[in-house]
Amino acid sequence: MKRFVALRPDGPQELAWSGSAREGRLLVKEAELAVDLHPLDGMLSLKVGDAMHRVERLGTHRWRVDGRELDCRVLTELEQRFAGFGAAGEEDAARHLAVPMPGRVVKVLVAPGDEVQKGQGLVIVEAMKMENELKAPRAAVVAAVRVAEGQGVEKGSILVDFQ
Amino acid sequence: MLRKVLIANRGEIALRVIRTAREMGIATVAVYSEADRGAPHVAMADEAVCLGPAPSRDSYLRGGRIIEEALRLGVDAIHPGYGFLSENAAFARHCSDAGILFVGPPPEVIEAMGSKTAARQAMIRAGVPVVPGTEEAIRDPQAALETAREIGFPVMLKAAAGGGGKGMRLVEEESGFLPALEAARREAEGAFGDGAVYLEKFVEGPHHIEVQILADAHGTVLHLGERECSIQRRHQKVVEESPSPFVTPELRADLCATAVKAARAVGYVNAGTIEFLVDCHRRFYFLEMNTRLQVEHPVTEWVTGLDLVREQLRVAAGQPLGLRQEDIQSRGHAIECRVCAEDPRQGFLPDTGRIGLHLPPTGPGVRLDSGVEKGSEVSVHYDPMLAKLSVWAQDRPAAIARMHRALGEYRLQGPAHNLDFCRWVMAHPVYLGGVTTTHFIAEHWSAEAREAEVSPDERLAAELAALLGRLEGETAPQDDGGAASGAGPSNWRWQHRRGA
Repeated sequence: MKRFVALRPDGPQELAWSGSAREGRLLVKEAELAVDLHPLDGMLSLKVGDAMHRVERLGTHRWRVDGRELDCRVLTELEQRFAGFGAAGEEDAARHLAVPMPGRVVKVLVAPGDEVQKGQGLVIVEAMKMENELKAPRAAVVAAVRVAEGQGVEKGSILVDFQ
Repeated sequence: MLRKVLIANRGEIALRVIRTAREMGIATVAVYSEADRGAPHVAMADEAVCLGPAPSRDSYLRGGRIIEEALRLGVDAIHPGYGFLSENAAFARHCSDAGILFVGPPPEVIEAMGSKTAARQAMIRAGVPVVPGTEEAIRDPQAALETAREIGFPVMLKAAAGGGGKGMRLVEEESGFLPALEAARREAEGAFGDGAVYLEKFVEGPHHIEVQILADAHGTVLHLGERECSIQRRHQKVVEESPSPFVTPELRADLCATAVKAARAVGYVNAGTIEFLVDCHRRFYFLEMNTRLQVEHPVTEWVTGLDLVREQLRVAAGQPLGLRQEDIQSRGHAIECRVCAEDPRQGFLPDTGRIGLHLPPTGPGVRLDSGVEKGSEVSVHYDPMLAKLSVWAQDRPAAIARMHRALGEYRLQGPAHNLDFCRWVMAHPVYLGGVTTTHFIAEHWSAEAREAEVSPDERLAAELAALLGRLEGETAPQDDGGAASGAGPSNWRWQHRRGA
């Protein structure tokens, strides 16, 4: 029996698995379900009890089940124990403004020292011939602007630091 | 008839034209940029010519180079597709000067309809209703603000040379006017090399409804009914259908007759589209005329049974349409979804990357016009539209059910995409009700709400797949320690979009 924890919107849920990576039984809450998995091209055909599901993985934690996208994270018991030290990623996101796609900086709307409101436009980046106004993720004070107008930026580049 | 046609475009529309040309026994020449060497439209053509580096201005926009190559290869006609050189009057003129047929209307018509202010003046002269606004393009910001006050807020700012939502801004109140004007002018300058904008009154509860026109050089002008294109994000269409569920038979007759009148007034030849804004009281106003084939032409092809590219090529060759208005009947209902590399959870921002998997849906009544395949690189240089999925069924509810089914079947991995978003549209009560304004997405879409609708069964299935993926990782001989390993030994390889 292997134990995992699914991080659900309403809190962690324990999942217990007995079997191989292809076939076995899942214990969740009080229910026990027979599970059978068949890989197809880029997709899994998953049988849970009698129900069939088509599952695709789109990103590290992004899934598509029966055509429907959702976020899903499953941790091992060990990872769950260390999970309390995490959340660094979220903190980062609030400390910087990063560009979600490659492009070119058209206009910088703020300067270091500016107080900005959540949702306020900070930098305009042109990507795929469209101008996109990137907005402040929270109310903050601008610590530094790392890019100049006309500059090309890669996906994930940090544009603005917050205090 | 034509012997050889060059398609001055890329992606799905280049493939679309190649298919019909081949059915008509016409040889095809593809053009491509260095980035598109391995693109499907190049592989599909009879001959292909490299135009230059990836940026459009160094490749697909090099009209002179395209004409030189066309002459060298003995091409009779150039089909411009949409975008790029399709509405460039100078290019159309250079084609005819070089003795090559341009598959589109005469250059003077492109010129007249290409400037929104000129088009508007032509429509007023022809007695076609237009939205209240400025007649002249505005360059002085203070004068623009004065005019906006006169028309009354909210107002729309639009690039005079624009299209596709570029250089367009809605201004709700006076305080936002000058920054929006500056942004619109800059965007227009960047996209079209002309920063002139004009402004007009914002129409209440607007539907974007357009009429397809076919005209030959012998005086026949036909309409092929309307398309409803109100589902838009960033002022760009994402779902289109025909017929429009909002249009009554009386309104249809009026819209189509007006569109034919407008086309006649400007001496239109070939396929074109008259776009209208229709307000909540079913009053309609001319928006613009697109002097080319539209992205969403497949819905019209579904309901009329016509091949618009075939008609375009025949008209360009000087042949009469050979159809009367009464020969054109609209049957059933068709819907198209534009499948785009964009993230609906991040304001529909375009995404890039390699297509890891592309398995489109099949089955009855489903059509796919795709410009990509497994392995294609979606780059920042071109439009993020990957494919157009369209369906036909006997009525609207059946067409919606079919589209919902087909979207669910579609397997696409690599960059972020909007398949789940399109399915959300197909299941939305307001969309099902058929009264969708151009504000539909802004008013109803919420990525958070969508996420919260996930059913317990769907969630459990994803959790199981994640859990089993971890077990698979543990037994892998070259385990790199992550559930997200795409290099496992199994015969199911996961595709990734983003790092952990």
